Amino acid sequence: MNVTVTWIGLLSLLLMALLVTGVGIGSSFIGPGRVVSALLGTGERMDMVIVWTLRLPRVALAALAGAALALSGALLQRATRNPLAAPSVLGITDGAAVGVLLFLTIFSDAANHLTVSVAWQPAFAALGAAGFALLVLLLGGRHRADPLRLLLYGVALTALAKAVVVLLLIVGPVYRASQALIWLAGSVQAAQWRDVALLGGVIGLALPALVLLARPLDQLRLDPDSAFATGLPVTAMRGAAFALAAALAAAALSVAGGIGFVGLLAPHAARLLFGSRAAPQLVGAALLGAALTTGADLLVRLAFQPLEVPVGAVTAALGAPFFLWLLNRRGDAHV
Amino acid sequence: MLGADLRNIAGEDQGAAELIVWGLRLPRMALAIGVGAALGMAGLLTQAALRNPVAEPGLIGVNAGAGFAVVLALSVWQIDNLGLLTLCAAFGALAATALLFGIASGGRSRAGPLRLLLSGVTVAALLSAGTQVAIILDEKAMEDLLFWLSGGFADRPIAALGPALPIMIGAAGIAWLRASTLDVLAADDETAQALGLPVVAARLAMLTLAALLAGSAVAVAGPVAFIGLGAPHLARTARVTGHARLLPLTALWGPRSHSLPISSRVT
Repeated sequence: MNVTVTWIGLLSLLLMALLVTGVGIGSSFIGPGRVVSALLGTGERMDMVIVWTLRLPRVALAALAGAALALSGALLQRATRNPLAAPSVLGITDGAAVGVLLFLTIFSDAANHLTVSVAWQPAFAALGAAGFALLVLLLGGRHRADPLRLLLYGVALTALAKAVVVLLLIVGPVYRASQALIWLAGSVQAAQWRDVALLGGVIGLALPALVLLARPLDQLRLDPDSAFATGLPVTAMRGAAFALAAALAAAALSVAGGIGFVGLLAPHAARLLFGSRAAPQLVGAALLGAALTTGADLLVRLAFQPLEVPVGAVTAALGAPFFLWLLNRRGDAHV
Repeated sequence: MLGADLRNIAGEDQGAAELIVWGLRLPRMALAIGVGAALGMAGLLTQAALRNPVAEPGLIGVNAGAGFAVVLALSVWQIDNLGLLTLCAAFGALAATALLFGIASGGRSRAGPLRLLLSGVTVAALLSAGTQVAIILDEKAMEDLLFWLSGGFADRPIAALGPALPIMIGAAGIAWLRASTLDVLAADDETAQALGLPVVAARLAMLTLAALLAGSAVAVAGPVAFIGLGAPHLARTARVTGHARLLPLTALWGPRSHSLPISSRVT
């Protein structure tokens, strides 16, 4: 327990440091002290403008998206009882991609100009993600004894969604493909407070549900028959966890794009650090996910200036060495 | 239409139709069947070796390795010869598997299925991140790659199947001869050890066969996903037990479960 608390404390500190650094770094550098005073509302006017209108939305969005995707992955892994479950495996990420590409295809005129505001793109992404998640749940969610069905339908629909995406990419003009690829790889460079508020709102709504689900989530780790014997309405709880995961992922994907890797591996990293109990694992996964995407966004801005490489492409590069070390650090007890 | 096709295959009719059937459509069919069967069997081997019903070679980085190698070839070395690209893809697929083995056996304890799986997922993520960055930095390579990535059969030369076919058949043959090893691996490690199986070596050997099958398929056809995962499950619906029977069944289901990408790409 003390180890867990220490790790959670360390991760929180790391996240704070990353947030302050992330806000400080950009085309004009702002020192940590000035960042903190600007955040507290006592800084210089210039710093305040840069921090509050330019940098903070981006950094906050990266952190929230990472946390939401990591939570979503942890929930899905418990709902399906399979360590490979993640938003990207269950059709949610690719469903959002279908939504974005349909949006770009339907609302582009001959000169590749959008005929409606680009502000509608997140709505289409969320609709696509929710649509595919609902389909997976309807097709595969009814069998109490067989959580594998959920996963298999998810994988099948992922393949379908990927096929649709590639088809739309090939059929459309190259310009649209590069536009879509930026979204597909995940990007927070155009972050606005509206996006942060939306994602923060969804996470805020999900928190009480997560607290309520903490105990059923522990029971869901048992095999379905034993879980049922402990008095758990298995099918309903699995569905609830899946729906919550889908909502979190849809919100994150709609505003931050298809950031991969975090949803699958942050929950495992948290499990390796904190063990398999639901409550510490979820907290750890959220912190790790947030730190990973914030760090990746920071790396993007430091290493690839002035090019804007999507943050999603870098999360893996940043997270992989850490995760591989974590995986190979211990014996077979946890892996 | 069908009658005309049959007459063409029988060699009765001459001219354009013959050229289309023998020169274009039959090679493409053969390619599709070979690739589908190989990917399906690779999926079955991976699922047994890693003891996870949703495992497939693409998940542990085989496709990502091929994709990354192709992107490097396209944008760094400026290769635009399809034969060379095919070779690059095959090399990338095998290199990714080698990298995975290196990482997973580097730890202090032996490579269990979950560790291999998660290490594989990480390797895959790393390689596809590399691909993504390369595409974004080099827009010219993007369109070529997009087409390669989608795994179409239309303009892959049948010649590409030549070197790939012996590898596929050889790997499938060895896997089929060792089907009982697969049965034991798909149980748990304790049982496998009690039966005298060198678990880690057998698992790595089966994954190597899977990588050979998937790598050669991906090299000729691009990363066609889902077959690897879907075909074994379709084969299992026949309620047969034992990998000696499952393997050929999966090989038969493989080509069928990707009729979608074929039909979506009518020339």
